[in-house]
Amino acid sequence: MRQSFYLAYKYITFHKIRSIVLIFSIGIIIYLPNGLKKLINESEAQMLARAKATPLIIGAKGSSTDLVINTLYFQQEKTEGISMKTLNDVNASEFGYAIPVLSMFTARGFPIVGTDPDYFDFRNLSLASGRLMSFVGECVVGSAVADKLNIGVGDSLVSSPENFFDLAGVYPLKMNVAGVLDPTDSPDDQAIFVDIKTNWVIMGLGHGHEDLTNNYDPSIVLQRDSSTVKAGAKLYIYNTINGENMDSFHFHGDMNSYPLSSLIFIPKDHKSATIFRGRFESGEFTQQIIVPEYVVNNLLQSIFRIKQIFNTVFVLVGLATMLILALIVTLSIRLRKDEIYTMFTIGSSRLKVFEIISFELIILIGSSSIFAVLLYLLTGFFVEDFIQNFII
Amino acid sequence: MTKSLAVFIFMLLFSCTSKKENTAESDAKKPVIAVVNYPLFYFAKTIGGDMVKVHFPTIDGDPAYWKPNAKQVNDFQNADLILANGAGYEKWMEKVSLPSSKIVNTSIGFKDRWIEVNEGLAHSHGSEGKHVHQGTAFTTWLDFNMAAAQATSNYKAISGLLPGHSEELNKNFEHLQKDLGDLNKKMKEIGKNLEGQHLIASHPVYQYLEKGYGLKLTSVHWEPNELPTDDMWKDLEKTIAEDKVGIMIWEDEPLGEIRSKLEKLNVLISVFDPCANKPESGDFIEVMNANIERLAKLINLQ
Repeated sequence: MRQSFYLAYKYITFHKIRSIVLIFSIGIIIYLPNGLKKLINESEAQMLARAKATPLIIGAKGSSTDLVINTLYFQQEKTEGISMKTLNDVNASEFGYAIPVLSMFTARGFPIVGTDPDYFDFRNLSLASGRLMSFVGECVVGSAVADKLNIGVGDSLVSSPENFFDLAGVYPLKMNVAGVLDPTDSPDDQAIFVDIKTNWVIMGLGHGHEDLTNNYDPSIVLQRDSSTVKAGAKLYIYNTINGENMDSFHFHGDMNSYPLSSLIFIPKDHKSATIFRGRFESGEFTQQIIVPEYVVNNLLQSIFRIKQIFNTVFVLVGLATMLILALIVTLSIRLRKDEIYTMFTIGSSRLKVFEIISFELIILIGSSSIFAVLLYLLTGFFVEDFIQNFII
Repeated sequence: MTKSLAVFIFMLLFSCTSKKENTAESDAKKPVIAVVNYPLFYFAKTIGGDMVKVHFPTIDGDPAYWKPNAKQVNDFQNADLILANGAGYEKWMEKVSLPSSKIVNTSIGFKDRWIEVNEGLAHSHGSEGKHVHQGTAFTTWLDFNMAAAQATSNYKAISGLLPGHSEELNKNFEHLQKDLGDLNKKMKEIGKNLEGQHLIASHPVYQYLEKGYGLKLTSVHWEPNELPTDDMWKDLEKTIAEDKVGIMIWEDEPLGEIRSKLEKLNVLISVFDPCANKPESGDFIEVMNANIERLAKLINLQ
């Protein structure tokens, strides 16, 4: 038996390239249906867990899927916004409380999410270092952002302009990193959190500039009378907010009309949630209210119908591979006719020859299985990427 | 004997320590209410009593112009309830990050009665067009009707935090409403006595007092501890002559030199402390009663 295994092992190592190709191809065939199943199941569980942890989402009427994906995954789909007034009205309803979400801009490829300190309590996000943002112009970064950009407390991040050719448009804002979050294996790891007002500053709804009342530079102040000062384009708008210029920052217009992407609503209890949803049905609120769990469930059901097609394909591919394997074995036995004849001549029995070839197959399939298991284990690390790239 | 004395001392020490620990523990369980000025501190403390911990930071100067540091913002972030005065009082809140669900604007119920004021020149820059930074007068509590409405707002918010203590909260609230009602009555009486008379205010902080009690006030920008310039005196003398002013209201006792010069101009001084910050002595009701008494005394002198 040991000798048979030794001979099989020697045969396989002698035909290295053929053996490696066989191990890889069989390994991939074993891995693919299982790996995909793992990816799908874990993605499903992760997406549903985040959706279930978010009781209700309020947003403008339109695509409920876009609204949920934008709120849960900060995908920045072009959805209609709601106003700050909705937040105040919803909070005044006393059925629970709402957390604002405004996700429109990015910084170095990561979404900037405007919210307030309630969000961190709601998602149980803890700080790895630093503190939560205290002032406008500060940000708290997710663990993946900190790792990938190699930044930490005290560093800064600049928001990306919406359009490089729009010189009069939104100016980039340099944000100071106040804290870094602990990893959570969720989209929060990939986000840059700022106060909602910081997002409004990036949008240009608020800004800071030097005091015009005491500036008499004709190249800056174009026109002045007792009640009005008109400044030109030379007026410097601060692109960072710090202790020195903080006082000069101000917002224009009625802040009640300022935009939000959506609200996460946390009702006091089930009864409050039901009554509150009724207010939207009755038209008291003109926005839509969504149970994210239902939307994500529908989305997953549509997407994962493809899983059945994949399963069928894998069964057929697996069958084809097994047939090819059988063909390879049959052909190799025919090619090894002389070698087998020699084995018979020197006294080997038919059983012994069968034993040696069987060991060769066992070693090949065993190695392929180990390769498949390794791939399967690696799959767990790519669930988040799979969700980001293939589902949402 | 020595042994029993040692045991007694030990027990005494132990009981003191555990009492301290118990107090700290029960303090930690109390809901924390952060407030932005002294009137709201007084209302919250009077209504909530020992059932709540009211956090009013130590502020040097007028709390309306407070600039908190990160630690102080963090204290507000960690509170269970944040009581804001509203009417544009706490401008610092525009620049800090606070949980919107915990903020209660105590004057939002009478937003239609906020008094608008212009805060500077209209200006334009970039593509935004002309805009002026409009604001509102914010010493709302000087109209005691509004103060009562703010106290009601406090009461509702605190009741939400302490659902099992309605009886005690109600009792405290009724007591506060009575005190504020008494102040309102007294101030109305003064308003009647001052009908038709023109007064000068050292600072534009008495808009709600003026409107609530039918006073006629002209505000200047004088500081009690700074000597006014000659131009300021000239302007004041002109106003006194034109409007026949006999009383000037100050936030604090002015310098002796100012007092004597005003007295020469036959203008009586009445200190009416808005009490936005913690008073050195007494409480909100006592300070307001003293303000009213001073004003009443001057009317009798006239």
